[in-house]
Amino acid sequence: MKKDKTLSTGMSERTSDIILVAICAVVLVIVAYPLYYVLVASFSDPYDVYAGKTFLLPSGFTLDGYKAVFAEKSIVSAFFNSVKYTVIGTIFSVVMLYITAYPLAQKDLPGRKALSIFFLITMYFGGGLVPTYLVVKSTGLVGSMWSLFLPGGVGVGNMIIVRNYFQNSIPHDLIEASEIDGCSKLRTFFNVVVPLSMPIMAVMVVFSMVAYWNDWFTALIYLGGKGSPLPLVMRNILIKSSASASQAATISGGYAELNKLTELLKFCSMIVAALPMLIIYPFVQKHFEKGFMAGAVKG
Amino acid sequence: MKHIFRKLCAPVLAAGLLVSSLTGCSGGLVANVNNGTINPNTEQTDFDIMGGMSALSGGYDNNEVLNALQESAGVHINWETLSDSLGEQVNIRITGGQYPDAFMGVGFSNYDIARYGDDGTFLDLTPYLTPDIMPNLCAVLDEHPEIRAAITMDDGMIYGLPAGEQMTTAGIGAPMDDAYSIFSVPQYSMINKAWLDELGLPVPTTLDELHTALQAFKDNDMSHTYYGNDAGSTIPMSTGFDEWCWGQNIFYAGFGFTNWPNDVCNDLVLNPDGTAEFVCVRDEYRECLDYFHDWYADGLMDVEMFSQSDSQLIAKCQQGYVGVSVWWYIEELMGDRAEDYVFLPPLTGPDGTCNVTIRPGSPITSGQLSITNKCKSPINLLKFFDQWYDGETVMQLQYGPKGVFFTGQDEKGMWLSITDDEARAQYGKSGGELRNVYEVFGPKLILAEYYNNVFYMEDRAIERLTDLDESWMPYVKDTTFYPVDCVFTGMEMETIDWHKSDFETAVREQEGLWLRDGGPTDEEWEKYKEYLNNKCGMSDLLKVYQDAYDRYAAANQ
Repeated sequence: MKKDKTLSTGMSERTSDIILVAICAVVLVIVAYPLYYVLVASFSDPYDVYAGKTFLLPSGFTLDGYKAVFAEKSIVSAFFNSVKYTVIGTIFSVVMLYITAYPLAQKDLPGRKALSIFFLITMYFGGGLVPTYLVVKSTGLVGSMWSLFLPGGVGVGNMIIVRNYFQNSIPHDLIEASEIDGCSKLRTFFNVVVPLSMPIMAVMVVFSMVAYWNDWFTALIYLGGKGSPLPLVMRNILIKSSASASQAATISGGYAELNKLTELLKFCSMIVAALPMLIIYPFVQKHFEKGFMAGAVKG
Repeated sequence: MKHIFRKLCAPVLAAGLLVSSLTGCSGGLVANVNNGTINPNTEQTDFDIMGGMSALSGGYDNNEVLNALQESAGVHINWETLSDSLGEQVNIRITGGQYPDAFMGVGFSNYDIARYGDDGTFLDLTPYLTPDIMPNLCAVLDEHPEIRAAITMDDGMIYGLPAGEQMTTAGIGAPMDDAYSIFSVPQYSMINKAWLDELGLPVPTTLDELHTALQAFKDNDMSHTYYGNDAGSTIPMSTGFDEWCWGQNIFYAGFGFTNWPNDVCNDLVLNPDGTAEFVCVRDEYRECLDYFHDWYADGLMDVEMFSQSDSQLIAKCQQGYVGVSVWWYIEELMGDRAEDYVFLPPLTGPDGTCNVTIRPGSPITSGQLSITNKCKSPINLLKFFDQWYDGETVMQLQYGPKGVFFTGQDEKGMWLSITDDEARAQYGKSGGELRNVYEVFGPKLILAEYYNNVFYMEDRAIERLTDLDESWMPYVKDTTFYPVDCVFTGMEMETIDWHKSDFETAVREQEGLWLRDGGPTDEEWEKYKEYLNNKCGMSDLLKVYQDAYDRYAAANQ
């Protein structure tokens, strides 16, 4: 690690190391503890959790929540559906971001301002749920996987970030140099711009991946119950459980007991839904750093 | 860039506004095409119906009760049932023009019904309500004109079949015309008698006595000393805030009112002389919040009362932290410690007042079955639904078939339902879950008299009604309440739709703030009333409710 010189004046390296580690540890605890708490809560009696009795270890250990989640047969296919939508959606979105942001980053693109404004307007004005549905329906996409990707394929906010990155972080001289060396526009894009923009690509992959992984509403509206992704199935499990609890409130009794399962399911489904992302995250992050370094050296 | 953007934006914005204002009123502009005349066609026997179902139901295709009804009516129905996000899906389908012959169990609001009725999507059913087509329903409506009134729109049209559950004290033997809904008093307060005994205190009868008791609970840290929980864990009193069966509203009885959350409009009351009024601008209301702020400031009321969920309340109560709370059943809330608690009757306020105002029961609605203009032979479909207006049929649609949920008849001919133990032994489910599997959502009209001559009410409902009758109704001085079945005109519905939720939110927020921070100064009080009038349409709302009630009263005389 390279030391900051201003920090080490009047302070030994060891002290500054300790301070840095301490700060990092605090940040780690702040970030990681809530997650750990949910994990603990998913194994605990939820009423103990709400009464503030869990801190580091589960209280009233139970596996009922996970049993209820994995008793749902469609959970496996839902998981694979989610993986499929996330992979295809992420590739699609990142490709779309690149092929829209790169041209807009070129200062000599005719109508560049008008195009930018055109994109910008979609950030401020949406069609609303029903009109959007009608458009998707009339294109015949309802019930198809592509209804999840095509309508929101270009995230304009992300596109602006990528465009700015192209404009500011990739030296214009480098592109000119490659063109002087005889690269075609396409070759410049693939061999110079894409490798240089790995950091931003990693960020965009993470953004899209998380968004597609978490999205259940689009699937609810457009897929019509077929090929449901994981969050939607989780949601149904939760709704079923809370329906049976509210039924108990009026008829057979035992609301408190059944409601317990509903509360427990909330924690369990968080863990089940977040775990795959948590596992994937470090791998993407590695790329993030690598790309960052590559950019620094060549810049 | 900024310049171009502004230029571009203005027309877009203007167009957007124009379009939204146009669509806003188009509901009323389109002429109605299908009202008043009967469609004699009886060719169609295959119908598509879309609707809601219980989350635990497996769909209606194999529902033996529905299949028997279809067979006897000579129709076949293709069910498309959803348990989740039904409202959004239905709206999308109607707007997209891809809707079925009928919607069942959707629960359209009166506002939606009027809108879809006006634009011709829903058929007016008045010409079909004849003894030839719908003998059962007509008999019911003849006997209960108030049900017909409740489902008739202000222009005389009926766009849906009636549904409702009249669970009242008539089910436990009260005379039919003096029966009260199970929802009349939704909050049953309770207190830890064991703690009181330990401290040598009586069960409080006034708010001041309760204050003393709560203070004693706190000072002696009863949760710690009596139940052995952590030191300082005692919460003298914990409730929700304006919540359905676990709110703080029951304690307001000492100031002469109880502003229950209800289906008409929160804080609306009907005085015995027939004038509607909002309690949230009465002086007693102001005094009341001022009074309870002191409790809150003394740490007697739970600081989490504004934010907690019912699960959190149950959690605290089951740990034995809480001295006073509110729920429908003591056992449910207090779990293993239930026997330490007793009901705490409504308490007398500082000036000797004690009055519980009651809230209306559940409404009769017409949003559970609507036939659309796609249906070619409404007669055939209505004949199918007419069978629902029979006690034994609707009983099976509500709970489950004879032979499954209903196990047999007693000597009086009343149907007996399965007990929880039997249900678990035979089906591996609780009675409630079993019911959830078989229940059909739709135009089920469960009249109060069915509980006297067709089947018994559930045990828990009987328990709750008995508690209501014995412990809470004696504190109700006057049984006037704003009728939930009042019919509003289109304009009135617009006003309600526009203002009601703003009004309710504003009142609720201010109520919470004053409870927490201390009652209003004169200036704040005036400003608050002004705000409700100017920004939340309070006077418009009040006029709407008054007018609708006056018409209702005139029609029911």
